[in-house]
Amino acid sequence: MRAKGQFGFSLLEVIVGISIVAVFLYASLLASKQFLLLSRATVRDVQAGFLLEEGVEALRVVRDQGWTTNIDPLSEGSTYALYFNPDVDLWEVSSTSSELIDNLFTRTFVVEDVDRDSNDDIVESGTLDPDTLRFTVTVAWNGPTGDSRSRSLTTYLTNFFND
Amino acid sequence: MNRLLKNRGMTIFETVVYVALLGVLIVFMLNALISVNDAAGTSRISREINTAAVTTIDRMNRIIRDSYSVDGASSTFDDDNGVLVLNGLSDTVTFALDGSSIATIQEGSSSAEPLMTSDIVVDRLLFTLITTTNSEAVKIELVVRHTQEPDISPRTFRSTAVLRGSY
Repeated sequence: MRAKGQFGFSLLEVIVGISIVAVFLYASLLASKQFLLLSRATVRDVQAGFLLEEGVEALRVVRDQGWTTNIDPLSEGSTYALYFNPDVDLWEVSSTSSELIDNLFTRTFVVEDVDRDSNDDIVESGTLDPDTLRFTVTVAWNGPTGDSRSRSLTTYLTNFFND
Repeated sequence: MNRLLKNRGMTIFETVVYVALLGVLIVFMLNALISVNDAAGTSRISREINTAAVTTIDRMNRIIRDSYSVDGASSTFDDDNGVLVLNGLSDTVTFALDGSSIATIQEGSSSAEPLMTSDIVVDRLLFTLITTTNSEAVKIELVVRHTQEPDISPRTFRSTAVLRGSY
């Protein structure tokens, strides 16, 4: 293509070269956009982590307010939400669906029965222990790209005060 | 195109095309650089907000759990500028905001120490005292924002911790 003695680039070479650089730059643009989304997501992860931990502590508050009145009526497998009652400054269990926390998160929990064997160890199937329950708290939210995310935490609570 | 052998320059058409391509490339490159820079800045600010919140709330949670009782008379509850005074194992621990809206911790007779960098501003540090028949607990609401990026909306972090010493 090149005339004899003519140096420099042909138009084709320039276009190919620029295309390669452009593709490279476009990739870095996409990557930076992804970083932005991820960095926003980490704040939500941290918020959700605290909400989970709070859920477990709130259940402890509910238990401390009386096992028979607050924990016993919960039925296995049902989904409940936690509600802070500002009139009495106490965490309470609500059977209606969780209202949005900070317009983003929902926090629910489920209760499961606990069985024990002859050594009083917790097992899959054995003798039902009416004074111990397994609680799984779940916090769910929408990620920055609209994907739904959730995290769960499981704990056991006992009728510690026999009330 | 009917170029002589000794003519090694460019036609005006070639020059225009090269300059145009170079211009497009430069605009594209600047755009990419700016957005990479923005991403780095945003992620740094997110990280600083996260660090401030995690340090503050984890410290509060741990000390609340270790405490025996809440000093209700010295504390300020249900207020955006809250003060929490805890009677701990050996020391009295006070959580409060200082003048420039940074959360601080004061243990025993030592002076108040900051829990976060001065780039963070606390909009709300709200404590609520929970009293059950068997225990005491404290609910925390922390709203923080970053001084360098007022566009990023304040973030709310919530927590509740039961005083294990109150059992």
